[in-house]
Amino acid sequence: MSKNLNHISRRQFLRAGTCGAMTIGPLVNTIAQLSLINSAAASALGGSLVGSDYKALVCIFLRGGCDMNNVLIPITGNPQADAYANDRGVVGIPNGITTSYNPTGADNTLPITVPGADPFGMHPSLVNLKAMFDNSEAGFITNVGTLAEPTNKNDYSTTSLPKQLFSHSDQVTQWMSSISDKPYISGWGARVAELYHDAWNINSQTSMMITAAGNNQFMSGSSVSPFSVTSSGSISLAGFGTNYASALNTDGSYKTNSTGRRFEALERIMQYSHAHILEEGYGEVVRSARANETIINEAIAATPSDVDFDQIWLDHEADSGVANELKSVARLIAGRECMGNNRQIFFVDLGGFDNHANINGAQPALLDQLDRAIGAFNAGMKALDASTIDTDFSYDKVTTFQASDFNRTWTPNGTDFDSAGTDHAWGSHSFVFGGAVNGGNFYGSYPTLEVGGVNDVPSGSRGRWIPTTSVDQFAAVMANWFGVPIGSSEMETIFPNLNRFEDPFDISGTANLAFLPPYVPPII
Amino acid sequence: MKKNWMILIFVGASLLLLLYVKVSSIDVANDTASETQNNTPATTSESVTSQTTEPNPYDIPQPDDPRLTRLADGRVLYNPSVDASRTLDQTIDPDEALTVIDQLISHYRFAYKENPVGSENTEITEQLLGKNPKRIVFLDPQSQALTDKQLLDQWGTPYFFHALSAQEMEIRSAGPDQQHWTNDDFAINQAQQDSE
Repeated sequence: MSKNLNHISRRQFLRAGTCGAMTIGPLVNTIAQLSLINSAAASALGGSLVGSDYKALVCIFLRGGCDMNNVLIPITGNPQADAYANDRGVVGIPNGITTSYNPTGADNTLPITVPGADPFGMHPSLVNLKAMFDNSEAGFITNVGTLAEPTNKNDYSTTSLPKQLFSHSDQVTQWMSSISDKPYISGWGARVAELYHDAWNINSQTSMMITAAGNNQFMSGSSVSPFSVTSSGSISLAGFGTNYASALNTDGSYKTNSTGRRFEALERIMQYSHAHILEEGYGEVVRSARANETIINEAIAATPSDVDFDQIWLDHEADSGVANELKSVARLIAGRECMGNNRQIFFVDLGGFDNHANINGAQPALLDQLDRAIGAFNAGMKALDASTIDTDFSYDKVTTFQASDFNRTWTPNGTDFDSAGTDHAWGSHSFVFGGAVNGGNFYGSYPTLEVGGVNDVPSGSRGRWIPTTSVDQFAAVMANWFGVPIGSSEMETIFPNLNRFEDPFDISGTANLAFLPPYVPPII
Repeated sequence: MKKNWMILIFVGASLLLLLYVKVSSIDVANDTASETQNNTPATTSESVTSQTTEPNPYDIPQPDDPRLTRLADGRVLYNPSVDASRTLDQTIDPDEALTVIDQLISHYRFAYKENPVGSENTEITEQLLGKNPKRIVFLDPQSQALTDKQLLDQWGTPYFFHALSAQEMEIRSAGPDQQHWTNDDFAINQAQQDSE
């Protein structure tokens, strides 16, 4: 039943016009960022708000627990190749070893050369990631996972383990918080932002954390909130058409139709001050959301004319959800001047990796989506580096890392090719890429692929690797590259359990985590 | 005209207020009467019936609680769970079996505020058998559904425990084809049940 909007009360008008907007969680979060109300002035400031000391950290989260055992594959010549072929059975990628599942001994992997290591191949869907690895733009942190303290097979039953090991929700939370032995309070991305946003982003016009995949624990904190965008830009108020097309003309003026008049009236009413705290808070939410929208949309539109992200994504046939999310991130990086932040953290995700069944059908397609998306994003960052208009940017300003709930069991849960899958496990492999990454290498310690072996959880029989590198160590290296000093109280606040593990910054130790260079403050 | 409306509204509001005061006083009187009854020693047949009702399995156990049976080896049987687990045999309906196992997990969660931890059948089964901090036994060690510390379904396949969160566990039977994650599977999810 449609209502005649020309004859409604002020109360009805407010309710109808903005309730949709109020239900958008991320917009509500922006109430804490009252300073953003002045965002309209941002575009008028002109000049350079962001200098050459810009950095962005991008998190790609693979939801469901990606089977990374099929991403890095020992191939012929690697002593673990036989174990891979025989143990993985029906879910294994043909790796050159002859088995009943691979009678011809085919090798379908994409071979990579790892310095000082035995031969490995990459999943055949990861064409772009292999190229990035070959070009030393991407690397892997192997057997990384949630840990409350260093753990091995011998002390597994006596050591403190991560809470609710093997459960989706809890392991996702612990990957994002980097605290495995306490209830969740905040994400490590949010803690970085809480401690450094004001110092790093003195010209900030919006949150330094932007999520293209909705709310997430990585960016949730007590005093900072992420701004949420869609793959096509900011989230506009409901009821006025996509990006206010039903209410605004292309020059930004109000249309003379009823929707335009309603939107104009709404914006005027939202400028009123209210004595009641809830009414005032409501107004603040809408005002700040509108202000953020303006900035985000300006940023997205500010891509240098000599960089064509649409064409790059088209060339990579990257049109999935995660690809579009990464395109938004690329555009926001290109338009960083509008947001005035020297440091930005982005979040995107891709779901569907909980492949208890039909992993042979599902995983290749998912990895293909992922690969095209990261291939396009990496090419986009290089194109921005080559821009003659945006001369402040360089390829080494952006580091992207991947994470997932957990790895999956080494052995499959069935013998039928079409229905078999793998189940929840633990230590996984994560890739990082970008111009700053010391790519073309494995970091951490690659596990012994043996059920009942030195890296296997002793209470099981399926091959669940006990991590040899903690999320804390992995994340601390990225935080340091971002600008958090080694050994600082801030580093301790962000990663309170870090000192339980071997120092990830000690290049003479065995942690082997120098996948990014340490942060060097710019000379002023 | 407007004045008449205002008078009408005032009179209406006054009547509503009077009615509210009257009803409230009746409620208070009833509450007082019921409190007096509750403090009186139970003599009616209704009171006796309520005393013999089965105790709620989720009430906090006391030291001499009849729901607990202490074993010589230090383990403690939680009888509501153990009794329920005795129905797990070849004759039980597959959905009913899942409901029973779900109940055991629920009792475990009641005791420890979280589900048993693990992704393999043996790990979950061992915790239900007493390998937990307070050594509480939730599953009858003599259960017909037990083989080599694994809890098996009617077709002899280990149940699959899908850990979704600390409070949510999906329990799956592979069904007649004995292959998990196929169309003939049986499954139950505590959180979904609660929401229904």
